[in-house]
Amino acid sequence: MNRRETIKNLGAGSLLITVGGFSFYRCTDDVYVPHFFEQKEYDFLSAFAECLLPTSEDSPGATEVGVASFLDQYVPACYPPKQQQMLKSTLQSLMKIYLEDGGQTLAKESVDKKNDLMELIESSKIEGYKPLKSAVLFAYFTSQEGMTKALRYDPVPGEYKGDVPLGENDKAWAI
Amino acid sequence: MGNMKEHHSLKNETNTFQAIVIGSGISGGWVAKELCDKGIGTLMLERGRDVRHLRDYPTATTDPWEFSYRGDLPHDIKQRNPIASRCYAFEDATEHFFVKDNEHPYIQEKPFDWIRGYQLGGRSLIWARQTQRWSRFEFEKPARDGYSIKWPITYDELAPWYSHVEKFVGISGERNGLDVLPDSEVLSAWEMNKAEASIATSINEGYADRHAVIGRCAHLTEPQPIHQEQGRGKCQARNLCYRGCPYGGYFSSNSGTIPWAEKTGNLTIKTDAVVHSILYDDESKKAIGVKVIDRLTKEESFYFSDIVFLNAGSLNSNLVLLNSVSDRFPNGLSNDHDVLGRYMAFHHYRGSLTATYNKDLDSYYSGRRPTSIMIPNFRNVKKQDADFQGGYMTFYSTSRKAWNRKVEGQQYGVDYKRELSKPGPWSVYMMMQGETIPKKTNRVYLSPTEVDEWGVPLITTSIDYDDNDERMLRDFLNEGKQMLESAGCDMISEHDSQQAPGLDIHTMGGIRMGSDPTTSMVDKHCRLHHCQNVYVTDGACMSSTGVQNPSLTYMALSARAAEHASATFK
Repeated sequence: MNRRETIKNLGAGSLLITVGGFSFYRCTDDVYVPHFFEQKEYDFLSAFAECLLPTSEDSPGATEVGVASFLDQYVPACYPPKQQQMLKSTLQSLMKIYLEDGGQTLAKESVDKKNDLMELIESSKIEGYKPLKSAVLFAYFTSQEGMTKALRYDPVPGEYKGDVPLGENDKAWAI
Repeated sequence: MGNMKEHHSLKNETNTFQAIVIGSGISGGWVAKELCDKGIGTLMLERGRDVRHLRDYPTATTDPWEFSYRGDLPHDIKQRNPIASRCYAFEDATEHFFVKDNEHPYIQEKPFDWIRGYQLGGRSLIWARQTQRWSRFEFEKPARDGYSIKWPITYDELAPWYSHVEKFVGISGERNGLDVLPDSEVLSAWEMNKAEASIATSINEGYADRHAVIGRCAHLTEPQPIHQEQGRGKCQARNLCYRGCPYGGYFSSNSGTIPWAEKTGNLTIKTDAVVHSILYDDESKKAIGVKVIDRLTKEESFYFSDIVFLNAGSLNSNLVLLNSVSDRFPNGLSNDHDVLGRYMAFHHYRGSLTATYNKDLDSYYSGRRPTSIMIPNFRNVKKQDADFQGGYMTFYSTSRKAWNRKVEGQQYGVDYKRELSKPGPWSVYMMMQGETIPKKTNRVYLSPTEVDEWGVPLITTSIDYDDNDERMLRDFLNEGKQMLESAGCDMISEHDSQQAPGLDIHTMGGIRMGSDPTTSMVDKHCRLHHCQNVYVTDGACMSSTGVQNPSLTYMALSARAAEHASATFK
């Protein structure tokens, strides 16, 4: 099944929600058709976000959380045009580094190869890298899974306790 | 200017009330409640739409990730609303309670960010809810140190009214026994977290004249029968207050005074009613009612009453009086001495400090507390001893950031993600709330040429900082830095937001209180000197700003004035 068929069928992973008259797809990245990013940029962004924030024991990775699909809608709506273009060109620069390094499809690379790329990117000092990384962190840690699994979320705390012992592995509050 | 005889002839049973209250925000709500409790038939006029407790809080229980922009707003909305967007509380979860820039234009002779909420309940839905009493020093200092006229009332006169409103509103806090910040009638206090408590200990031990204590706020930590009677419950520490609270955990007109007043059967509410002016009758030397323009149909109508309370919010109350012209008062109602619209002041929030605190890392907190730590004013208290006039209150709080901070080690991958998921060191935020000097030159006036779509002249703002504010800012930044340093904070940095006046949302004055009709607009009962059945009990009547969050004082003044006005009907 290709992406377009998947989105038509709106599989179990996707959910159409409407807030203030604005339709939003909430879904994992692999069943989403991008509008703002080119498909290639989108695929790379999703895989890059997963390298940055991969699936781990207790919480899903960036791809499953839908970081790229969220940014595909959030960036064109909320960023000023200049920043939108900046984000895209940063992404292009990263893709170039990756392709020149002999890469093909980032999502399918071995862990070692992914780590090599991340080392390369982190040390490359590309203009606009920090904002791109911040955008990915924002998209991840403000998602439902990010807030409830990677972090702790309590919609109705009931009270405020000022001194709670912090355990070694205790997570931070999402808000 | 209108013919009063003609107006009189329009009076009928349906448009005539004993009292009219213009505005439904925190002070108008209190006036309505007090008058209705005394059996006085009251009409409340609100220029905005109807907003009812619970029913009209569309985002009250929405989880953060359900918002399309997760707390942000689309670029085009921000671009169209540069003023509203500068308010910290304007976001996708709350934007429906804020006036959009293009809906209600005004003229800025000097930059002024006017943040407004035009709906039933006004800004009481979206206020910051911090409530401290003024001390006798705030009442005495302005005249003592010569930066404003003498307040015609004392702390002792207002104290019982503070108690009266506090019991109904529900104020959480401690009884600290401080002369610089008198005790309120309090419900149990919120806790400090461990870092805040450590910093407080350092300040309290290091400075004899400074007291770091937990903030006081209009949140029900332990609801009493009077609150249950309002249908309000315990604050759930969600800190999503600006959306409207489904528990009634914080006080607003919508959850408190308005439904209470309605239950008496004495309140009539008319929303979408833009007040154009107050009608003055030269024969009786009194106001006889108000002229209203329907927000939607633009139709003109008249309402009549024995007394009028003006509670439209500081700037709009000035606007209504300035626009209430008659043969007797060509420059605005009761404005014989060019005082109306002048001596406006506001709160000085430009200074803040950030720091980190690397102790007490074994401790965390749970829940989201709706207040912070406060350090009541310690400058110029008993005498003028600083190089500026007035004072400032300091607030601080600490929290532990997670993903939005720098972490050590590898900057990607599983370990990176795990680190970002943990609470980091304590982030410290400290800010000032400073008094500004009411000056004749800081003023609002009507545009001679431009009117809004309801035919009301546009208000023009000419309000600015001065050297006193600059000196106070430097003092706060120096003292704040010292306090944080002594407490063991690191990475202390000073900030000047350079924000325009208005963004404080604490604009006061223009219809200031005083004994002398040549230098003030209202008397000690908040009555216009020259039109004694009109009362002004919102921020406009303030002769100076104090260092406290002002709403509690507006509420106390409103209840006190309503008691005074009710004598009209005895």
